[in-house]
Amino acid sequence: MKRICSALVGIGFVSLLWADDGHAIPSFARKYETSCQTCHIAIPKRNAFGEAFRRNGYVMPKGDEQLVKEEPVSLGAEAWKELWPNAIWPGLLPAHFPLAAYVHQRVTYEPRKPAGQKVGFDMPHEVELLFGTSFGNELGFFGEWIAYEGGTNAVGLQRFFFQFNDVVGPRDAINVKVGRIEPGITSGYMSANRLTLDRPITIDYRATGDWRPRDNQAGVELNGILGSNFEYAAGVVNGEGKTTPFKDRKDVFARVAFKAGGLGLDGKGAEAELKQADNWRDDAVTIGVYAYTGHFAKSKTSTTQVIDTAGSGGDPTKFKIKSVSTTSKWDHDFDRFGFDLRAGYDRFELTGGLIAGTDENPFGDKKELKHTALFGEIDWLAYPWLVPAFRVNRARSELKDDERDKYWEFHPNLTILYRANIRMTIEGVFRVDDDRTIGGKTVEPTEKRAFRKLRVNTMFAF
Amino acid sequence: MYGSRLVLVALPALIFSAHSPSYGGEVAGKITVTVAKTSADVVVYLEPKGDTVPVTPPDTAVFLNQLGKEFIPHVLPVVRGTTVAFFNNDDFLHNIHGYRQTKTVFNVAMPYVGMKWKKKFDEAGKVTLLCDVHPEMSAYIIVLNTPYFAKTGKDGAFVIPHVPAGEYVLQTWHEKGKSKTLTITISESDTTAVNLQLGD
Repeated sequence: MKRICSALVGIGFVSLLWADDGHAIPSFARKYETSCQTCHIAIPKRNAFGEAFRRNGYVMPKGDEQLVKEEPVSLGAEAWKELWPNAIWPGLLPAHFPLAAYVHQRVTYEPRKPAGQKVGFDMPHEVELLFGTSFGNELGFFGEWIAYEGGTNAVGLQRFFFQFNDVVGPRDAINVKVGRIEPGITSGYMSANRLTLDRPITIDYRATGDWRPRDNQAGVELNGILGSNFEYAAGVVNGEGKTTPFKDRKDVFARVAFKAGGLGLDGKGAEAELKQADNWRDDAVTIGVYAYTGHFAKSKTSTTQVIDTAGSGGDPTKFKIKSVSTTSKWDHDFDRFGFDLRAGYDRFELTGGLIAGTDENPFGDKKELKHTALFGEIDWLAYPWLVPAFRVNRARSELKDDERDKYWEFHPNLTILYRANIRMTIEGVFRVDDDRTIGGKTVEPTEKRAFRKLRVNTMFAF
Repeated sequence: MYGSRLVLVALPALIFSAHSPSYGGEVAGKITVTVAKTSADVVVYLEPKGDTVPVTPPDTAVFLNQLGKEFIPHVLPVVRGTTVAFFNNDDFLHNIHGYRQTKTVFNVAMPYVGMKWKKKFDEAGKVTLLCDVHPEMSAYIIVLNTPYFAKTGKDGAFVIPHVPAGEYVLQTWHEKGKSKTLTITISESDTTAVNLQLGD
């Protein structure tokens, strides 16, 4: 085991050795001619400034005018605004198509796999194209396309949305996000805003095997910041994810959050120029609460075999066996409530959260599923290039009287920035399943080994 | 040879400008624009408080060019009554569409290189110039009721020299930055410093 772990770490470092300085950098870095560290602690996890940039629709909190280095193409002089509605409102086109890529190279050790099949070379594990920019201060967009993925997740368009900034009212108060979005209930720790390879359970937990908070969906979201400290997001999304755009019953969600201390949610407090030193630090506490209510039109097809006596004349030797499929359909409503916490002090950051929910009739047997998932994570920025982290996940779910999920997960993680755009991660996964009560009986877990996985991942952003 | 002549010519001017103005005071300072790439093209002007000041337009026209799909200069402050001579220095079609707010005040085609057209501006206020052929082109003529004005450079610096002593209202105009107004008192032979920030 020790030898295997050493080999994995060695392979990870070797994969770094051939990587020279990034000759190209992602689209935002190119646009502003600035390092990834302006907005990220370690890609893709953002610092407070990066979060303000995201909230502001991928426009610098104080406006882009003085910071954009790639001169955009004017689609009309500023003066045309004065002539509206008798002229087209002027806009800007980015100087270059704003494309960037993330590539992951991964080595995985899974001790539970059969002998001889425990070490996997997953290279590349994922090739992801990202595109995002703004068209002036009023409109930004972001897209994410997974071109290749060695695992089992969906490949293709993940997110693509436009955000219209400052639609009405004071600055930052009302923005509208339209497209394929990650619902704003995950805004406390969005899917890509993490150090670890795995995501916090509160955004990743599929209680019934289908819906989970972080899934991108087609929809519209209203979001904004009031007074630098208060954030809200509310929206309507299609629900059921990807396959049914025409669906009258949509899912709705809302989240509110308050931040005390540190950089304002709108970036207030940051200097107009981009800082490079200590911008990972944000001594602040942010607490958010959210709710989501959704609906599935579910169906289940079961096949049974029946004896077909037709044409047999009563002769059993002429009976045939045929399969009969029956499809049952039912409505399934579900809801989620949760809170999220982020607290930073000096080189430490604590994140945590809880999500609780009820699924009314997930399996068509009119049994209600109740569940809770929570996590806590501590990150320590030992050096700007070296960040150990440790996360604990807990999941519990109960279908009427039967316990389904009941486990703890532990994720020790070490993030090493070889360069600002090249990140190496070493991460373990440990899981401890508790005894469960099923049908009034105590059932021991089938898997008692806690050590589930060790992964060494190198991520390149360019 | 030419260099030494230039020094001889420029030296008295430098000595002159380094000293206090020969008559009146001056207003100098810096306007920082936070909503534009640079702090250039802010028009700073002074009007006597509660009074008017006579303006004398220049004898000759001032120039405004169309070159490289740009109006040059982008901002042109002039006193009331000034004649502006427009030139097309590009080898292709432009026009000059002048607006006061949303109302067209002139619209002149400039179809060939070297074409010249003159227009006298008798009414104070802002005239927006656009080229319908190239919507990215724009310029502003700021027609003023006062001879005491200046336009900032990229660093936002400006100087308004030879201002008679008295109380004045200082105003700014910028394409994007919100205008600011303040009352200042100018003393004879003194420099009054004004530093402002224009945002949205």
